[in-house]
Amino acid sequence: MNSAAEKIDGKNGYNFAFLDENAKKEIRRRILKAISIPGYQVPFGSRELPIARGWGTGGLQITLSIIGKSDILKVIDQGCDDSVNAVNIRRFIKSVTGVEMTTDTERATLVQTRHRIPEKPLTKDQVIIFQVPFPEPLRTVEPSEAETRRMHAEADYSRMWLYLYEDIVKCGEISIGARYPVFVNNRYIMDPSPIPRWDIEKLNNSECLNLFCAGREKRIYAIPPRTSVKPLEFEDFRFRIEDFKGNKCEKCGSANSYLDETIDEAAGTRHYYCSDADYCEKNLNNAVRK
Amino acid sequence: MIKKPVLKARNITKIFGKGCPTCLDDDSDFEGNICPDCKSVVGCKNISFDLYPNEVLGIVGESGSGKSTLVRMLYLDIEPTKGEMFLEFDGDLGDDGFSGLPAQAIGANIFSAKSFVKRHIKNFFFGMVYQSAQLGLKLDVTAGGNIVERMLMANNRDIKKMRARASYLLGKTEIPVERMDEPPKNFSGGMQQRVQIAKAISNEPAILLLDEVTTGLDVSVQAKVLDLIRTLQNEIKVSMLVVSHDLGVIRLLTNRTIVMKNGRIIESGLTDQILEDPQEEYTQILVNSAL
Repeated sequence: MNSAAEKIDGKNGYNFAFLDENAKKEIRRRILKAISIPGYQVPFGSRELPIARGWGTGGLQITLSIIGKSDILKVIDQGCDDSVNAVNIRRFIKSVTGVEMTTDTERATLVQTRHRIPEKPLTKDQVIIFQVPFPEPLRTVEPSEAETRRMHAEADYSRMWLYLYEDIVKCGEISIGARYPVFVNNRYIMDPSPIPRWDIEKLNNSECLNLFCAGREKRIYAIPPRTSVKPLEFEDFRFRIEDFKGNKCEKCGSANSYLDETIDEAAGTRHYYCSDADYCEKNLNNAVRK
Repeated sequence: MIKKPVLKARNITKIFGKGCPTCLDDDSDFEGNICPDCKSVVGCKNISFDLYPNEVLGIVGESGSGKSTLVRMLYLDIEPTKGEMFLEFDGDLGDDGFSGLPAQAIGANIFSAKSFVKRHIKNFFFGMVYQSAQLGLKLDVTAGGNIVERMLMANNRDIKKMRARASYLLGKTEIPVERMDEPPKNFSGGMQQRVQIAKAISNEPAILLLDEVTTGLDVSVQAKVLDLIRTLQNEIKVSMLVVSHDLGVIRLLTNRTIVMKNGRIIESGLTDQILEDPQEEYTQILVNSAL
């Protein structure tokens, strides 16, 4: 997406897309490696950025490395285009690249996201970039990095399974909500970033390229298009997604999207709204047109 | 018909330390297990033996003779300095879709296999009972969980079936099934050891390695554990390697015995023969002091 001609043409005195060309090149190489080994965490040299680590610097570095002038970018935070994190990242990228920004999922060529996948399935011409706080799914059962790497290398995942078993014995169900561990390409256990269970099935055999990056932990990993992604589940304890018990979005009336629950403390009532702002808005517009 | 051995060990040597031509040389011979030239400790030296299907092979020797080192190498816990191990299984070994050795391991030295293959072999074909339950069990995880972990390693994914099998094995090992969801840290030493045995046999291993299973247990519990191992041997037809310094255990459980001293095999043969008519001076001392 980047060509040599764009190199020097920066904004506000910075190189195009802020990072220097060597940094972008390294990150792109790491991305290629990550795509070649689906679900494997590739270490990379995480760069300093004008936002603090832990605020989406991983996703941001991928976006900055692969964005080109003809790209159209959408940035969401928990499905919403207008929350602080999304707005800041969008403004920053705009100021160092000048590329077009959108909130329309279908128009975007790149989607950078925190903790959600848009409801509308992405196409083969789109890339989704996840901001990842904790890239290591085995960290819950093993504190040592050397040991978790060995476990991945040998596919020695019994302790993860044991953790799920103990969860079922104690709670009657697997108690992991977001960050539900998945099996990628029947080889690596991967942390899908804190997306809800609802979004896990969108990763399976997706048409788009999924890139994940943790800036603080310095890891890049990927799920290429049409790759098998399965949540960890037992034969008699199947994975299940969030159940909204028949509630619908109060704005657009959608019954098949992931809903945010808000509580009106004054009135003591619960309200449900689509988490994906763009999806909700399009539903509303369609309804008005009819 | 003469059966083919399931496990062939050839010239397994483990040197703790730098090692030098003297202690690595196959023919070298020196007193004790410390190399006179480089002062390395010789854990095991040129150990070769065959383990046949359904056989119980004993390894006996004083403490420090390299018994546990040998077993830990066979279980792929530690790497030998040199030596080879070959595995061969024919036919089906259990009812959960067992598909045999991975292709890379057939006729190949297991020690030089990739760690991925080693892990597979360890998880599917071996069971191990350590001397201390801390090594073999996760004491904070429930007893049932410990047993289930072994089955999870062998790719079982059905909780009901695994729990049914875990409670069956706990019954066999005389642990109250009601305590299945209690962590073994609440159990007595003997109970922990029996949970360990239940764990080791839960995925019906082809080879079971028992490292000093009865050491540190009181006599009545010892008898129970030994009884259990004997019953299991009859029931699940597993090949066993029993390591012990207790000749009583060896006499009760094994068909053939290897006597080790200073990391070397000094005598081997039928258990009865070795106990009734020991040839080597060291074995004579061992037998006389025990009986």
